[in-house]
Amino acid sequence: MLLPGVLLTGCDPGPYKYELFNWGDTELLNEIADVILPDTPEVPGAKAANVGDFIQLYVTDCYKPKQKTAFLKGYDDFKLTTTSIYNGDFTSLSSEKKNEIIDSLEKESKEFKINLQPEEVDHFYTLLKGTILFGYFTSEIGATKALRYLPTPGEQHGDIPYNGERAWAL
Amino acid sequence: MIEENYDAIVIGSGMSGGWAAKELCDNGLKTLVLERGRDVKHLKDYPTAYKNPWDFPHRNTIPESVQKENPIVSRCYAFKEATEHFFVKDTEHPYVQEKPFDWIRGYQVGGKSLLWARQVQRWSKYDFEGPGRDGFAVDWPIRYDDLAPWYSHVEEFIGISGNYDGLETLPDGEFLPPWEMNAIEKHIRRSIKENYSDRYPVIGRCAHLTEPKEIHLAQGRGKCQARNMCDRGCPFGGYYSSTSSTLPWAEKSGFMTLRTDAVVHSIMYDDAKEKVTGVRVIDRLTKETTDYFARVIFLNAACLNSNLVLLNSKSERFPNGLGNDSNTLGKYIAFHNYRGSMTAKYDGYQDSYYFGRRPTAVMLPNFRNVFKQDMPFKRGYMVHYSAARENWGRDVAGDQFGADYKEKISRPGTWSIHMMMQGETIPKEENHVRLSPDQVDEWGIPQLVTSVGYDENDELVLQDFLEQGSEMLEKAGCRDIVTKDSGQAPGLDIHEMGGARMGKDPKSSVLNKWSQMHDCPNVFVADGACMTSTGTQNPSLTFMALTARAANHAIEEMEKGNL
Repeated sequence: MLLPGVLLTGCDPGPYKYELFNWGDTELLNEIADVILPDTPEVPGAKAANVGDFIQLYVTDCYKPKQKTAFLKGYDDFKLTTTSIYNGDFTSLSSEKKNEIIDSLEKESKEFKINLQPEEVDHFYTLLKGTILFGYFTSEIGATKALRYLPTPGEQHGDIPYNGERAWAL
Repeated sequence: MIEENYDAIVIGSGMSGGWAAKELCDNGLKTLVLERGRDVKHLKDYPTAYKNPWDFPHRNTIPESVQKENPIVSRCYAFKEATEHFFVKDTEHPYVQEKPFDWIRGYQVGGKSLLWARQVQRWSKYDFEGPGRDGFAVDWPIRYDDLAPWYSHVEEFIGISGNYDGLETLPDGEFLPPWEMNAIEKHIRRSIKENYSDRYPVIGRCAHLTEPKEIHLAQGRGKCQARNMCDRGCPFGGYYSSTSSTLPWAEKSGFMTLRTDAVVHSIMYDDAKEKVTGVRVIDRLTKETTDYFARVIFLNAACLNSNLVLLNSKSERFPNGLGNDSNTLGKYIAFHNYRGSMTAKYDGYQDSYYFGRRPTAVMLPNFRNVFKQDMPFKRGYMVHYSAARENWGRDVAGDQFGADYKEKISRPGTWSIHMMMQGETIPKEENHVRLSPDQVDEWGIPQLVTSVGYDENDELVLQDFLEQGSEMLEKAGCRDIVTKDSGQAPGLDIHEMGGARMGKDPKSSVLNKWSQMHDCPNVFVADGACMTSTGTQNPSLTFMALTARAANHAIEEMEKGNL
């Protein structure tokens, strides 16, 4: 027998799986990540690896409290600024405009770093980019396609010729 | 109360306990091995051994909530999603830190031998002569020649890789083929040899089967696959753990009984018989007490827990802990000073790379105060260094995002060098552990109080390493040399030693030259607790050799009717 409540909640998506985030964040974070690590001819990019989902999990579970606060504040500011300056959310912007935004964040975070004290938290973008890189290169796509993944090498050679091959994943 | 009788009881199933079990069983002694934790079976209980990075929810990162609850174990480099099931959580087994001490423990069959860094170097004659010559601790009751055959005995069985370097300061062992250095490691090695007549870097020696021999195959172990995922437990048996090697070997003899979930309360001394008769055990889960009886006891519970067991083994004869007539039990605890490290970069060798993941680094044996005391500090340090090409975490030329960036960081970058120290520390009376007078654990056993710290000598050794390390890298043409004092607490080195030291004189030591209690001859302690001084070598090989030697002495004494 079906309980009435089940029928009533049928259209309600329920609470979002990450308390600190919301519907649409996976898409937005994937869009940002894909500007930094886009598809290239042989190798799918960050969106294909669904780095956007990993970022939310990682921020939620693995960031230190101070990092979490800095990230969420910076992320909110990012959304607000993008909307107010470009008159639309990041996802809908042209790739030129997306590049422009990421470029300015690169510069801003680099300047921020100059006076950063050891106990202070990194700029929001530095945290985000670090997590994008980590999420991507430890994903199956990143580790096996962008890098060379060899879980069981079987032997070791210390000094072999290098001719531009991809780096080892592990 | 249940009673059981054995020829021998081994307390602890880890690195050295496995060796006691093997030697005793090989000689036909009915042996009980007590392990306080759960069972871990080789192959079967390595749940993460084949996992890929993306198979771990947090890609092998320990979540913040777990770190916050367990700040001590979280500081350990090896504590990851892939390995956390082999580590004691802070909350499960509290202790009292009078001074900060990061006590890293592994309570399961195999103990920390599942998790160790697997570096195995023999002590040199200079290390054994150190305390006597330089006037600290007490003179070791043995010398290199006493232990050399036992080093060989252990090395042949566990299998260790190394190069025959012919160094007096780091004697060669029974080696399987060595691992290879990479281009920049070789470059730095050449530079050090050219610039310093007293310094000779060698490829690290580690307990890995680079080329298994019959004796290793007979253990069911195979060639190391250069995965470097060792601390998950190796599905190939490529490195030594008691779980993969000595314990199954002992079990095969038919003489071993393994009792897990056995928390040792104390070693029982019979005042009338004037000897130890057995071990009192509390079941980890049921809390039921069982007494086990045997002719000899091997205490291999790992350094601090062996101290705890002895301190808690009180009788009319030994009111201050078993075999403690010298009143030195729990004292003269020492460790390795790991505080100093540095990183650097090297431009060049862009046409060279490497294949496979090598489970060792380059070792530079101690070059301070070796032949005589000639520095303003006592003893010295071993240096480990390794190099790798930078990965995706680096900045590249041009844009720091986009297609070009992605392609560039997917390729190896500049060579990056990491160098660290492993400094000898001087055992001192004030560096001690004792029982808490009022705090007990879940089984009613007093908690351990740790009171172990650095001293001025450690600061001088650290400074010397930071200066010498920088100079060596600078002379090798490295740039961006950044030195670091981690300030880490003692204990995080996981090389704690002493507390029941060996010595010639029963008045100033707990154990004799056979790692046997002066005052209680049917008890042997041959894990880290027996160490008179620390040397600069990774210590496990020496614990294993001392244990094998002690076990064979015990067997001889039993045959003669002396025990």
